[in-house]
Amino acid sequence: MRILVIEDEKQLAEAIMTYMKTEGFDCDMAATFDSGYEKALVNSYDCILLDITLPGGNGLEILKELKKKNPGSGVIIISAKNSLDDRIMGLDLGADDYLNKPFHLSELNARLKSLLRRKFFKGSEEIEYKDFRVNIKEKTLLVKGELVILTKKEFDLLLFFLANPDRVITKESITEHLWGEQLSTVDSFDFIYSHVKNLRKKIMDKGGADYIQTVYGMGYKFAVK
Amino acid sequence: MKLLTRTNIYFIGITLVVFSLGGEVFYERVHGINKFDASERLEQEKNKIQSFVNINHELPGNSISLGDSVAFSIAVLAEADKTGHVKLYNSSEKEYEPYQTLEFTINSGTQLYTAIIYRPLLETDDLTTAIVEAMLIIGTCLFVVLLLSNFILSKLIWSPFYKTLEKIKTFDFTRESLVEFDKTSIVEFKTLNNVLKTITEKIASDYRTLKEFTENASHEMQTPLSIIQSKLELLIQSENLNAEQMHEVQAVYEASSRLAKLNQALLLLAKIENNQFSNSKKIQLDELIRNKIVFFEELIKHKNISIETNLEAFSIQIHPVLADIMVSNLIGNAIKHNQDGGGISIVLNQTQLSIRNSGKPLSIDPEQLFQRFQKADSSSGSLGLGLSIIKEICSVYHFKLSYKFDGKMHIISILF
Repeated sequence: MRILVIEDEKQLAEAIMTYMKTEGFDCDMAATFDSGYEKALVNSYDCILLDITLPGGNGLEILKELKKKNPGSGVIIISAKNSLDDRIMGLDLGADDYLNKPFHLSELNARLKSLLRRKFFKGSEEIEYKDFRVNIKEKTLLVKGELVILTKKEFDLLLFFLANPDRVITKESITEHLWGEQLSTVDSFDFIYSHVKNLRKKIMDKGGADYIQTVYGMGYKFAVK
Repeated sequence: MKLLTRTNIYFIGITLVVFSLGGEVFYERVHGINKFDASERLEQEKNKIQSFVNINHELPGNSISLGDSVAFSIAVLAEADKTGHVKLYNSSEKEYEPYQTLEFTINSGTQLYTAIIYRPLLETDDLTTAIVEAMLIIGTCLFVVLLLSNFILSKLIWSPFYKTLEKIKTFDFTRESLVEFDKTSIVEFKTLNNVLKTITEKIASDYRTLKEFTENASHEMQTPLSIIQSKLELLIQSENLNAEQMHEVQAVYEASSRLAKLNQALLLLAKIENNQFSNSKKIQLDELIRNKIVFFEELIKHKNISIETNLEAFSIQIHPVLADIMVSNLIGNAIKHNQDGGGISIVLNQTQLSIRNSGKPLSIDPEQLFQRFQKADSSSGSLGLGLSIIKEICSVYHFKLSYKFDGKMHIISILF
């Protein structure tokens, strides 16, 4: 999978690329409007991570041209503007997703994978990982062939883990993933804890291995020990 | 106290003082004239008697109609004229009445006599009553005229002032930048309007600049925050950190997450204040609340909170994002500040939405509850901005937000 990161903040672009490369993606980078425009239109990328405010122009212009020439590419807008108009306009112009800065890399990764799955694996909405078979459409989990009944949030949590295997996932990013950005009012960390505990128990009850490790104070890691 | 009431009170006071003093002076004057007049008359009568006696060499008796009573007695020595006052009993009116007297000696040629003429004076009581009555009538008339003219004049003269007052009372510098005053020809009011115009323009422009600054500053912070967060996230993945280092990184990560959240909340507040959520749509509030309860279902269960709702179908005109944030924050707040096993009750009718939740009494002044950075518990992870955001949204749509604690339940109500 080829990805282009169009982002003028070099440090941020590098952090994104480092994370994505370990996920096995092939990453390119562009730091200005012109170079982004050129790379996006000349090469064919599976997904483009696009910042809106770029030196030399508005990222939405790149999106417009790209959708004319190469409508198959996925686009995730990453913007610091938090502007609703930009979001609506971006999605209208054919962007697949919109992420406000600052974001968690684990969240970006989960969105990216979900986008690629939607775009390139139509029909086969299944993820397999070790003893797990997850059907995204049906929202079901089979562990060693046995059905595990999960709540909606538990299922979302599992998908988030599966998108970021072998990574430390912070409790902050889990909270945001499950409850959205606005939930600054609810202190839900101990809730996350009991949620993860339930998920873990449900999986182990069906004979699944304990994949979810606690990283003390930090969060969790979904991995084979 | 109203300006008009205050003026009227002064008018009553002034009228009372002027008319009691005036009444006093008037009384003295009338009384004086009355006495002077009596003395003159008595003198005239004395002259009449004198000339009668000089011609006839005898006392007048009853043959002269004098009008006033006169008494004669034999005198031994001639004495100088004496005036005096007596009170005599009037049998028909059954009271004593004042008389002025003139006592003089008269010589009939053969005999000396002392004559005393009595002339009735105006009765003091009658005089006082008459004057007080007159004063009261004149005073009341004058007062009524003053009241009326004051009322009419204040309507006329003060109307630009009241108009200005009304304008400035309703002027909201967070929403509008200009206030236009009506033209007036009165110099004082002109000055007042000009001063107010300058002040309000200054306030509004300062306020705008400040808001823009807040928004721009928040925007500018997003990018460095992104870099910090993403770099930390990479650092966390590193296998080479020992437990102590991991602990340090964790502290930094938590602080930066908090900062990011804080920044987002401030940005949201600035955007609401800068009217960036201007498109409103009809939002079915009962439906939105039901959806949010489902959204929070697991959190509610986790805290063993029982929730009861009584939701009438009701819609409001509001920006969908703000409606979402408002309801999320209200319910999130009711969960967060609840105790384990507590309760939440949500009532929505055609006039208001009220959310009650059990929980500890507030440790801060309820008056300050909706102010920014007010936290019931400073050690909690709360930013202290949730309720300010609700307040800001309510103020945009002119909803009335209120808080009450009835000893057990915290009640937050929004009156539409």
